[in-house]
Amino acid sequence: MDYAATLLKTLSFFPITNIYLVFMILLVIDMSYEEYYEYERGEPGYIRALGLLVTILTIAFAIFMFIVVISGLMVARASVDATQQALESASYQVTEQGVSIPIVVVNPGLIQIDMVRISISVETLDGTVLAYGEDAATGVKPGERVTLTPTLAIVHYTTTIPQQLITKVTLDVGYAFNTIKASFCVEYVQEVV
Amino acid sequence: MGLLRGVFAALAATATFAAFYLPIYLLWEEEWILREFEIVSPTTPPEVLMGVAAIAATGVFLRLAFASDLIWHYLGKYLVTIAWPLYAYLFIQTPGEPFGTMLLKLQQSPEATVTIWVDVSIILLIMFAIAALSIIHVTLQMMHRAEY
Repeated sequence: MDYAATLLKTLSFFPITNIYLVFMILLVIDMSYEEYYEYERGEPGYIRALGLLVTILTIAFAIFMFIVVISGLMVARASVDATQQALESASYQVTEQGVSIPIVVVNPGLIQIDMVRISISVETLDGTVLAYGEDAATGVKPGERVTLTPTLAIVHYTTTIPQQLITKVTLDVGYAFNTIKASFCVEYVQEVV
Repeated sequence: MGLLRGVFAALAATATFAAFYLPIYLLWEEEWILREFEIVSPTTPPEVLMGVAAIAATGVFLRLAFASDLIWHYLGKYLVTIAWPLYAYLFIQTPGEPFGTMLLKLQQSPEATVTIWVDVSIILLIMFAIAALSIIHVTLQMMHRAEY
C-alpha cells in the first residue's frame, strides 16, 4: 500500500499552521507594544493588568502551539509507520487467547504522548465484528518506544463464510495534556478465497 | 516612538497578509491544491475563509489608517481579535463533524481507505477564551478613553 500520500496529506496541513504561528507571534509583539503605549497614557492598573494577562496567555499559548505543531508532525509520521507495520510487517504469534501482533510505537515528539491505543478488527461488510483485539499504553515519554501487543480473538462465530472481509487497524493518540486527540484508521477490504 | 509603532504595525500587517491572504489565495486561485491534498474540507467554501481574512485585513487597515481616531482604532482591534480564532476554527472544522474536529478520508486503492481524524476542540476553546478576554480588555480601554 502507498502510505506516502497519507503522510503528505497529513503534513500538508502543517505549513499553513506554521504561517499562522508566525502571525500569532507578531500579534504578540504588537500587543506587547500596545500595552506599553497604553501604559504611557496612564491607564488604570486593572486595565493594564488585564492587558498584561492577555499578552502573557497569548505568549504561553503561542509557545505551546509551536511545540504541539512540531511534535504533532513527528507523532503523525510515527503513527502512520505503526499502522503500516501492523498491516505489513508485524510478526504474528498464535497463542491460546488468539493471534498476538506486537507493534512498536515510538514517540519522536518533544512532549509526552498521554495515551496511545492500537486496535485491530476483522469485520464483514455489514459491520459484524468477527475478531477484535486492542492494547494501550499511557505516558510515553519523548524518545521512548513501547511495544503494544493487541491479541486478535474471535468475538463472533459465523457459519457462513463471507465473500469479503475488512481488516481495520486503528491507532488512537492523545497528547499535549490530551488537548489533541488523533485517530489514524486503515481499512483494508480483502476477497476471501 | 512613532517610527517604532509604525514598524510594529507594518509587521502586524505583513503577518496578516502572510497568515490570511497567502494560503487562501493559493486555495482559491490554485484549486488543484484543494483537490489534491484536501487541506480544508471541500465542503468549506474558500470564499468563507476569504471573508474572515478580509475582516482581519480591514481591522489592521483601520488600526493603521485611523490610529488617532478612537472609534476606528478600537473597531480595528475588535476585528483583528475576533478574526484569528474564527479563522482557526473555519480552517480546522470539518462541516457535519463535532466542534473542532478535522476529518480526512483517503481512498488509497479500491481495497484500502485511510481515515485521519483529529480533535483540537480544547485548543480552539482556549483560543476563543483568550479572544474573549482580549475583547473585554479592549472594551475597558475604549470606555476609559471615552471618559477623557
